[in-house]
Formats: sequence, C-alpha cells, structure tokens
Amino acid sequence: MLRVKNVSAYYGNIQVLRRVTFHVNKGEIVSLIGGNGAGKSTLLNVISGLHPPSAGTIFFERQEIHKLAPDKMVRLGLLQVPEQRQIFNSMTVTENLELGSYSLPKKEQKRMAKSQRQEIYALFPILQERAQQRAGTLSGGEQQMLSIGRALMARPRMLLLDEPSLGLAPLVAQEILEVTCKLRDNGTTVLLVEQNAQTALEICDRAYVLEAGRIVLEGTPHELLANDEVRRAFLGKDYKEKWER
Amino acid sequence: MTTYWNEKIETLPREELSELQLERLQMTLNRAYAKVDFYRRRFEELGLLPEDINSLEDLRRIPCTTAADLADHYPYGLFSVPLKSIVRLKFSAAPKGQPIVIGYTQKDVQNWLELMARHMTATGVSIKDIIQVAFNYGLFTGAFTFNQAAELVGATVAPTSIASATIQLQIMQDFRSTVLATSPSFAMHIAETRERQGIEINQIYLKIGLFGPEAMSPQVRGTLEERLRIQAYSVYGVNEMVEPGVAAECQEKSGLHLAEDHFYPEVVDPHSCQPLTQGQEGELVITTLTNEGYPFIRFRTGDLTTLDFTPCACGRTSMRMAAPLRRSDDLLIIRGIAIYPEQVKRLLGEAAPEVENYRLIIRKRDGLNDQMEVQVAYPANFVSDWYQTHALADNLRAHLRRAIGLGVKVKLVEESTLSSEKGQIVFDK
Repeated sequence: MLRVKNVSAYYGNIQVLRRVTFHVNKGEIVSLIGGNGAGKSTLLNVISGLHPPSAGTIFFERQEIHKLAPDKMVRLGLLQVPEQRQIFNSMTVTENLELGSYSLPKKEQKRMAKSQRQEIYALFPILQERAQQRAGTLSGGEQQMLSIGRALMARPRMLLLDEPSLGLAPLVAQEILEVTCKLRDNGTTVLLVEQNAQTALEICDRAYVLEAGRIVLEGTPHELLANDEVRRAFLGKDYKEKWER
Repeated sequence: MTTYWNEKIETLPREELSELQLERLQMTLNRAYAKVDFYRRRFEELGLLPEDINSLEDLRRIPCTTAADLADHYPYGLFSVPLKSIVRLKFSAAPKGQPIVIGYTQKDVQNWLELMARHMTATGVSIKDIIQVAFNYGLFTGAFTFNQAAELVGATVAPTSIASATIQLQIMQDFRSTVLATSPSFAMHIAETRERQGIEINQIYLKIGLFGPEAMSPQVRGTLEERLRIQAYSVYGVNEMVEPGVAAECQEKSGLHLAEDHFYPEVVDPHSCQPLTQGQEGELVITTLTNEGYPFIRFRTGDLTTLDFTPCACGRTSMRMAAPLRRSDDLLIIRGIAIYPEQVKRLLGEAAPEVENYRLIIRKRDGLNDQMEVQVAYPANFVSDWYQTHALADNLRAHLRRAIGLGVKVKLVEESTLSSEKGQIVFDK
C-alpha cells in the first residue's frame, strides 16, 4: 500500500534520513522504532508531505506522492496524526472534529459528518461526553483521542501516527493503542512511530528499526523481541566486543 | 495444482520481489557497515557509504568477498552480532585449508529451515512421507537440516546416516520410506546393491530422491530415476552460507529455484569478477539479504552456473539457476566430500616432507567422482623395501583420512611415471 524507496532528508546540512526503503502492506500496523533522533518523525513528515525529501520516491497505492502537497495526500486517504496532538484549543470538540472532514466534497461533508462523528464517539465515548467542551480543557489522553478522531473524519485508508502515547499515563496509552488495533481491524492501514518500542511491538504486525537515519532491522514483534540488539537498545547498553561475559 | 510452503512469498510478483530485495539489501549493508569492521573498511576504501547503494545494480560497486577473506578473519571477525546472540556455529575451510567459522542467530536458523521446508514441499514432500536421510552427519552438517526441515513439514524422518547399502535397503523396505535424501553417489551404490541382491523394485516404495551436495548431471539423474524408480531432485547449498537450502528444483526439474527473498544472486566472470549478462555462464556470487549473524556481501561461491529469470511452469516466481556442474576453482567433490588439491598438498607435506612429486587420480563411476588415488613418487634415497613402502603409504593414507574424512588410495610409483607438474590432477573416466 505504501512503498518508500531510497528516501533521504536533511535539516539544513544535517542528513537525517539515509536512503530509507521500506513498505507497508494493506491492513497492517507497521511501526518504526528507534532512539531519539533516529529519524522516525522526519520519516513520517516526509511521507505526509510536510518535509521535502532530498531524494527518493514514495508510492501510495501505486501513485507517486512525494511531490504532492500535504492536502492532496489527505484527499488520497493518507493522513498524519501529528506528534503532540496539535488540536485547536479554543474550539469545541465537535468543531475540531468537523474540521477533520474539510477534505471531503461539500455535499458529502454535511451528510457524512454526523454519522462519521457517531463512529468516532463509538471509538472514544469520552469525546461524546465532552462534545461541547473546549478542546484546551481536555486531558492529555482525551486530546490525543480527539486528534486521532479528527483524522478519522476524513475517512483515511492509511493513518500515520506519530508518538500517540507521548506523555500519557500508561493506562491511557494502552487505550489509544487498543483503538489503533480496532482501526486496523476495520481496514485502516497504520504506520506507527513510537519511542516506547515495547508498547509498539505489542500491537504491530511488523516493525522496522531505525538507527541514525538508516533501517537496520525488520521483523515481526516476536522476532524483534527475541533479538538481542533490540533488547539491548532498550537497556541502553552497547557491547562492542564479540565476546560477552 | 502446485503446493507451496509459503505461497505468498514463493509467488510474489517479480517487481515486488526486487523491491523487497532492495529493502533487505539496504538493511544488510547498513548492518554490515555498522557492525563488521571488514565491510566498513571496504566501504571506506571505496569512499562509499551504505546509502550510496541505491539499487540492486549498485551493489556491483562493492568488490566480491572470497573464502580467503573469511579465513583471514577467523574466527569471529566477520560476525555482526555478539557471540551471545549466536546459536549455531558451522565450520568450513578455505581453499588452502585454513579454517572458517560461520555463526547463525536463532532467526537465521529459522529462516534456513523455512527455506528447506519450501524446497521439500516444492518436490512434493508432504506430511505423509517417510524421509530416509542417508548422509554422513559428521562430515555433512546439512544432514541435520534435512531432519529438522522434514519435521517442520510434518514428514517422518528416518536418519539412517552412513549405514551400509544393505541396511539402507532393509530399512527402506521395512519402513516403506518414500523419500531418500543422500548424495548421488551413495544413491547409485544403493541402486546397485538392490540389483545385486535381487530386491524387486516393487519391494521398495521410494517416490522422491533429494540429492546433494554435489550436482547431478542429466545422465546421473536419468540413471537414478530409472534404477530406483523415483523422481530425482537436486538441492543446492553453499558450504559457507547455508547448506543445503539456497536453491532446489521443483517438480518441473528445469533449474533450481533460488530463494531470492533471502539471497541476491549474480553471475560474474571468474577471472575479472565483472558481472555477466543474463544467461551467460559464470561464477555464482551471492549476497545474503536476511542473515543476522554473519552477513555475506557478494560472496564468491566458486560454483559455475547460469541464471534463468523466465517464469517457471510451477508458478514460483523465483529465478532458476542451472545445476552447477563445474567449479571456478579446483575444488573436488568426491563422494560428497569437498577437497581442495591445495589441502592434499599441505597434508602430504606434513606427513612426509620427503615426498617431492605426486599426482591425484580421480576415478569416476556413473559420471560421479568416486575415488581418489594419490600416487606418490618414491622419495630420493628411499630404501624401497616392502616394509618401508607400506609404512609410508599407510602413514599418508591415515593422515589424509584423519584430515579430510575420506578414505583414499595411496600408491608409491617411480618418479619417471609422473608428470613434471607437481600435484597434477588426472580424471580417469
């Protein structure tokens, strides 16, 4: 469904992505894991068109998208849920959600918005309770739910989730991840960026490990959790020797 | 209807396959660059970074790796993970006899088994089969792969190892073995024994023969199929990489399907190491795409073959390689055991430094290397009485046998009967 080939990206003179090649199949949750500054978020921003790649190609359902503007991608059904939510604090929950459907044709927008909203409330019942509240007054977890809900208003076929559990209490983070699984089960493909690899590996179908802008490993959660390198990365240890005692 | 072990990957459209190869190639290069000093130095000498390899074709910019390179970094120099992550070690030897050791992680071992399960399924092996594995488990560790993969497929394994042909035939009848996995030479011996002992072909139930590590010529295949009434398939591996499991024939018998999702093959000119165009015969060079423990980048296998990218009637999309009947170096495979002439030279020098000239006679039987005779010239000032002659010959025979695991004939001859070219190899048809 998504195919990224030889993508490089810079911030000024600093190369953040070094010819990254990977793919996401339809109906999968694929996560990108890696340490701070490995290039995970940049990669998402490059895919969604927010950051221009310096080289490489990106295909979304066989269509080249790396030269498209972000809003065009939304119309194709590829949506990013940004890191740190970025909702409109002074608007109500309902208004925030409605904004999410702007990309749909006008007529459809009116007709669909309500039923679409109901679906989102079914996923996140708490949002219905808070429907008329200003978004800025929501808790962190609720804001994250709103951010995902807003993206879902555009009826995406693929979601790019950037650190959805960032700064959330473990239980809330768990809830967000469970919803991610539900979305996948309903047919939405998900590319998930997570710093907390442990939680990402709990829900994803496959994962890629990014290290200093290069992909170094790929595998199922089962394989990666059994991989000493991945385990070591969590422990923060670095063994240089071949002989470990 | 073709039966697959992993249909999705075995029938992956070629375009998607090459995308997957590129993805995995980059991961392999990234890891090799970061974890293996040898490969990092290679990149640095060329002024390259892993990201300079943007396509499968770009890989040609990196020089080939040889068995000698592996030996130079013995034991653990080319491992890309700490020993703790390694679950299996495998030994091999470089042309001059220096040792090589390869390491596999748990995932590597699993991948390897999956490959063998695919190859077995491709020849028609299923849960109903009884597989008689008649390899020398000590000398050919690939035998264990047959066991494990057969169990993975769900078939029944009867590891008969190097029991005599008579016992093999007995078990074959008693157990009603349906698959025979062995070397072509031993299969030939079993076939002869069957005829000699007057065992009716109806009394054995074999359907499939899986043969390696030496390649089968069409004549050998024909003979085996006729005399054992089986379908005979070649299984190919690379001693230093995974053996067997790299490639194997399907029921179409039109070349060996190479598992391209795990290996990227190229064919190069053995002299210049330059890539050849499609369909030309050359040396097979393989880059591993999924090896975690011990990545190989453009490893020269020494086997001469051609690659065929046209679709196979079986539906598998992987490329097929011709059975590698020749080598680019002088490796000899005798009754399934690999021997480099250099090795013999070294061993002779160790056991009897006084020997100056010798030659190797390779006797063939049914188109297969069957026996090696080492003809040694009497050393200068040698007292050639009966006792001395036998003592020297016995000593050499024992030394060679201990080192290479193959019984060889040793004969002392007059210097004048040998060619002036030391260590000449003669094939006696």
